[in-house]
Amino acid sequence: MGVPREGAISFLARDRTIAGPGFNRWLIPPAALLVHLSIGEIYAFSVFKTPLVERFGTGLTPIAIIFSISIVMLGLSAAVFGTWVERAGPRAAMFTAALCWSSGFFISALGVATSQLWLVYLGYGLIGGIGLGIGYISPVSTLIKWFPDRPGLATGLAIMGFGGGALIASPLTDRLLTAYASNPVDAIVPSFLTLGVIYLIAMMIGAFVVRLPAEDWQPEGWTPPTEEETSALETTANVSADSAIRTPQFWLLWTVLFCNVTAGIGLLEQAAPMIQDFFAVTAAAAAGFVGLLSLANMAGRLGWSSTSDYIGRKPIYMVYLGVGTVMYFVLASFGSASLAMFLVLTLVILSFYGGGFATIPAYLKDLFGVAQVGAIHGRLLTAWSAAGVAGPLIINAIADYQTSAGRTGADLYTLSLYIMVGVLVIGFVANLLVRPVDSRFHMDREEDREKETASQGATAGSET
Amino acid sequence: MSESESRGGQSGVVVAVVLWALVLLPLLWGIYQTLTGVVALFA
Repeated sequence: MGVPREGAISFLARDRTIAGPGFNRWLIPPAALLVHLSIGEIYAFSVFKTPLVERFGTGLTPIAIIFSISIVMLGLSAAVFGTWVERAGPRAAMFTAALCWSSGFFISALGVATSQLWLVYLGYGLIGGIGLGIGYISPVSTLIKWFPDRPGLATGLAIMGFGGGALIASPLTDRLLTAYASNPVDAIVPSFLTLGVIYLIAMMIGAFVVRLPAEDWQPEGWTPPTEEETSALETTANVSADSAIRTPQFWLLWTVLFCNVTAGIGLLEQAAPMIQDFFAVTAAAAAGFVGLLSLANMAGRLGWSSTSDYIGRKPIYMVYLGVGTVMYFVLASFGSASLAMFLVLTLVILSFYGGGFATIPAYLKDLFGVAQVGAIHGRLLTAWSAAGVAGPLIINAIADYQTSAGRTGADLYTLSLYIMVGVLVIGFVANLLVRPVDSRFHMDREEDREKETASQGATAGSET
Repeated sequence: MSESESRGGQSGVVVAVVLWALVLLPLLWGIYQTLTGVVALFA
């Protein structure tokens, strides 16, 4: 028994995932996408909401908590396990993510079958959330290593998958719920089990295919840029994850991501009721509008992140946050004037939201180098968790306040849209303040200092 | 390029095509499903 187990463990080992010469790097994006399309199901969780409310005979809030636990665990596990992901390598990380994410569905199925809501919190929320965090950062850092010539395209490809996952999971779940039973409530358990199996297989294929490039590997015909050839913000050095969180640049980017996500959620949370209150469209049309927003979100992840390879990371965030501010302002002031204008504004804002998510790993790579970019990205994702909790709280509190003040129609949203304008301005200023990381944080400099201290200690020791 | 290297390269391309199909086909199905829902917005 011992030998096969050792064999299985060594198959997951980091050094077993180093690609041989001639390995086709275009195998890595689909491997990464298999993981991100699977964990992107989280955005389709709302399809289960109504059947779960009915199954547990409870209100919306206890069911909404499942999603909140998942998102909080995503940020926390990405932050806590980021260093392990870099050390253990992408295969072990993706394998672990697959086990966590799929067992989240299996445990939740057990919870629904036995009417134990806490098991759903534990399964989909806690354990599934850990799978989300590990599964989110691992493919991203691997792709950055394979595409040093196009890091924006690489991260955009993977993170596009996270946005696209809901586009598959939403209609798929809808069909499963109607296929397994005449009442969707009775179909929750088999639907959870089916999704768990599908995602386990898909993510395991990704884990099997994924490879890391050899230390000295570089794309054919590409040479790493010298210090003179890189943009002012780009570094050819590396900063460790522990050092990165001591730099102002990390916290400025944390603020940028927090503001970008909060503003995006501000729109996503209200999208369906907003278009109905603004233009009196039907519920079906409002659902179509939400689908369009998802497409814009996904397209922005690939499109804007790839564009950042040409115009630079800092300028593209100026666009996301600066142009986003103006668009939010126009939406708040004149949004109800024309449906066409409303659609253009909201779709572009959501594409910026997606772009902001997808470009941040490449921005981190520019500032902190490639060595521990996964671990640093993991820690930065706590901004997402914070925004995921703060955004809906702010939006729903303002909506309740406006309703109790007797406001109706477009007036219900004006205040929250103006608040989002302010949030984006804060993000814009934070991005404006980003400067190159001080060289004292670079890994080689830190190692030199440690060696110096050690040798001084040894000298002092020999003198005494 | 030797014959074995050429065969290896060809099988690599086949695996890449299969993997991309595994990813893109469900994604395109999802996009199609979403777009059919969008039709109601303009109906």
